[in-house]
Amino acid sequence: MDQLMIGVFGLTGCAGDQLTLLNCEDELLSLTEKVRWSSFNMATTTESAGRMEVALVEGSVCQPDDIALLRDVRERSNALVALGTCACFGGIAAMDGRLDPAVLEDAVYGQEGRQFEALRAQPLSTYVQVDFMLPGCPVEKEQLLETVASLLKGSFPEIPRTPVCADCVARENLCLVIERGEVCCGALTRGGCGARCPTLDMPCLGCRGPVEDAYYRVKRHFLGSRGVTREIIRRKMLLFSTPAGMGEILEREFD
Amino acid sequence: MRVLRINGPLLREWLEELSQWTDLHVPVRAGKDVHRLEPYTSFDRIDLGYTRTILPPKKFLFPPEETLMTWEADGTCSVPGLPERQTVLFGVHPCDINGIRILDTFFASFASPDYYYQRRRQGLRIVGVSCLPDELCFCKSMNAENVLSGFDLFLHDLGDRMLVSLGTLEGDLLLGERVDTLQEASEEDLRALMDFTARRRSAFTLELDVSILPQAIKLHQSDPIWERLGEQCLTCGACSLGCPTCTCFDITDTNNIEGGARRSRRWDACLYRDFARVAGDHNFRPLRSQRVQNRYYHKQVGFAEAFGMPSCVGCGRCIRMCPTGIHFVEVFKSLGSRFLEGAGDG
Repeated sequence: MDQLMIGVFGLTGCAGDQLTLLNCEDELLSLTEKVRWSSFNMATTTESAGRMEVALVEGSVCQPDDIALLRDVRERSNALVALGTCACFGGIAAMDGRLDPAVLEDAVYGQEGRQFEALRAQPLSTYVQVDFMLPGCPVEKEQLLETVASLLKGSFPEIPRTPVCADCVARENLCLVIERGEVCCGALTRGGCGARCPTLDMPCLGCRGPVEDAYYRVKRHFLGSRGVTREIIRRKMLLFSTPAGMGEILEREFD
Repeated sequence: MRVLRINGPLLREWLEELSQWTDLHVPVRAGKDVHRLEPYTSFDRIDLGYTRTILPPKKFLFPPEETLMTWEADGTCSVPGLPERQTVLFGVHPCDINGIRILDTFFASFASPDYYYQRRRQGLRIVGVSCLPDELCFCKSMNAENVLSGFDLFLHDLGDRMLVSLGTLEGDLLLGERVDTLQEASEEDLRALMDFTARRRSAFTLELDVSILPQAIKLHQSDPIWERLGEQCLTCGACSLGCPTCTCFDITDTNNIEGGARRSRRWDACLYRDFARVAGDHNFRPLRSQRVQNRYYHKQVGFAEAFGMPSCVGCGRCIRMCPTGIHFVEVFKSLGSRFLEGAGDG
């Protein structure tokens, strides 16, 4: 079989998704037989400026350099995969899209930290066409391998689009919302994680990003009726469950 | 049906022995008022007085996710085997036994009966146990509060005594030579059993008149209630996945790096947006309210028209599992009562 030319790129983010690829220790040898890395900073010094079949891009777009790299990668690739929640939805960096980037810069770096221009964090799809989204913070190792395996066959995988609740019920967990009145984002969040957190007795933070029709209003109403304050619910939902630019929609849902 | 006397120490001895040669699952407490059927580890963990398990016995016959077949890069294909040990469910309530009967009907209805369901079903032994209803149980309204068959053995825990009904020959085999050593129930025992049954019948607090339901639902297809439910429903799917009679699944192929693949099926629910989405991104039920309505329609009308019975046994799980407090029975009650009012007007 011809090797598939894949490039792995990171925009603004923690590089956790690239690391997940490296963490596929049992499959790495097999992977390297079938894949040629056009670029993969974390694993190889080889860097090609040529075309590639697939680009796996992680991180959100937070600075002009990100836009330039993203557009260049899009230009050179047949298929572009958004890897991880930041690339798919904006993730943590986009958690409160209403705040002016200058205010955030000041708060984090102060005046002397003004070394680069910061933009409002955005997912890849704001700037380029994304062919497939693989959310996760980080992505699930099995789903990443499945994605590469499907790409080797010229297709994209079927990744669950059902909410975390589907995984949680399947594991026969006690519902943390019903039993303890916790602010659990499971019903708003894409599953496929096996309800990792609720299974360990931790409410879902929403790290895999929102389901297509996340229903913020009812979530707020019934949690509110259980005595959870508006601010707690808002902060929790803004963390991951609202895609970039959704902050204002969420505010409207809250009124 | 033969009824024998059994008691605590004998039960302990029997289950201890049964766990040696079968995959024995028993009700174990999971939370304040909910349980799970879990693998037997010790007799003392069994809670016979439980009300309901989070998941119904469906999980043993139609697991949340099941590999149907796998194939290698060279095209060799195989179907995964099952463990050789027999699975025994100890402590199944009548509503859930009736739920299994509905599953049996559904999975046998295909052009060729569902292979994966059948092979698990054939190896499954069911030991029922008597129960008392809580405020969410409406099995009596669904005619599902009693069972005359569908179990191999049935244990009646009457408080001051225990009796066991023999349902099938397989049930006798589970008891082993005890079948011949346990005493037959006395007349007094049978009277106590009848008393218990009467007490149980009168203990139900939640009732639903199902006689007019199909008509009421059909005539209220454009009722504003569906819109309201759509606004209250998170479409988390818990009510469907946790339903003893919901059988929807999705089949996907998963590729692996070696060039092989795995085909599996996974529980799905009509409440999910993807459920009725087809090629070209057309969706037959794009609105949350349409999906909620579909579920109610299917349970009491659609399934009933296809199979001659509603796909509901009144176990109360959908009420217990709804994070926003949608009450299945209240919804139907409001439809039914307005239906009657309407009839009065006419």
